[in-house]
Amino acid sequence: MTFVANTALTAAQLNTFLRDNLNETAPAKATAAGQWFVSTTDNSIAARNISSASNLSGAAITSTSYTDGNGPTLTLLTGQYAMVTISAQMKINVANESIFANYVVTGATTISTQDSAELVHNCNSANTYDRTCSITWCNLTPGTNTFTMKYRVSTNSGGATSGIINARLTVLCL
Amino acid sequence: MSWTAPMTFVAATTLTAAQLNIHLRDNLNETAPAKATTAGRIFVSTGANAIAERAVVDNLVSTSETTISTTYVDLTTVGPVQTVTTGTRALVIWHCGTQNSGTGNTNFISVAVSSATTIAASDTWAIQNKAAINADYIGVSGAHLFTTLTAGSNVFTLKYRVTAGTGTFSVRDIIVIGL
Repeated sequence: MTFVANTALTAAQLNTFLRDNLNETAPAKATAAGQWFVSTTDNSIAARNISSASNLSGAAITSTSYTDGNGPTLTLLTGQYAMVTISAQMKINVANESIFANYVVTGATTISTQDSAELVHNCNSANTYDRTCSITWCNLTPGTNTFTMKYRVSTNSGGATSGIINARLTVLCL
Repeated sequence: MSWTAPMTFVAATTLTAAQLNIHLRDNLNETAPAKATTAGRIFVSTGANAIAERAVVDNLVSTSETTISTTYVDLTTVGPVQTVTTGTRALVIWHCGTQNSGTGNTNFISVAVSSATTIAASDTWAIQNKAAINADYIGVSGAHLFTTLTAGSNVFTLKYRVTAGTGTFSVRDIIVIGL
């Protein structure tokens, strides 16, 4: 409100314009360390998490269609968007074949594996690790969304030594 | 000075200067506009009802340089390096063009933390590329959320190693988001 000289200021006005507006600011919204603040619509903000999960022990990958590899997985409260990074050390047991990493979203939103998020390791010598990462943008239905890394190989030739280690998933909720 | 849950005002009750100083002045001084000092910053929580301004910074070293070290080292031009005030966490994103003189040799690019915190560069979060063809050049990227920092001024530095041969590293970039 705009204050006017010689006009009584009421408790109701102070509650609306002072108390209630202060309760919409970042300090009032902060519930724990490590959150950041994003707009949810005009004149409205929310505290959101930046979270990471890892699978350091890894998994053997034998499927030629995307499958679980012991995660990692993150279940988070999000708004309409998230930025997702995935990375993993990957090896394939057959030279010149490929191993892939990707992620899916379930819960409030359903997103299948996407070419834009895919990590690919293809090497001319078998059983050697490479590692890089992808960074992608997600359009989400606001609410509780679960992000899970998935893996596959291009060929299953007794793939006990095709696999991933040190997989990491980071989600910046917006 | 810290945040106080805004009081509920009651009709026909005297409003004091002390109340206005606590619930209006001091609380406003805890909000993002009061904390903002520089363009391009973000705001993160440091605990319940407490926020801080944090930097998002980038440093690029374009110089192409080499190493034959099998343990993590600096190149002739150290870095890239960024010094950032953080809480206990920071998100680091990095990119590098890389090649190796010998087919089958692997280059590693990792991040070390120093100053308030000491974390050595590690293969656990390094990006790594095995040269399929001698001197084949590739650009690779990495991202890692550090979650065990000591709050304060932390220095983030790219470090490099190879398994064998001569590794060449160019267009080396680091982005640090203080949290």
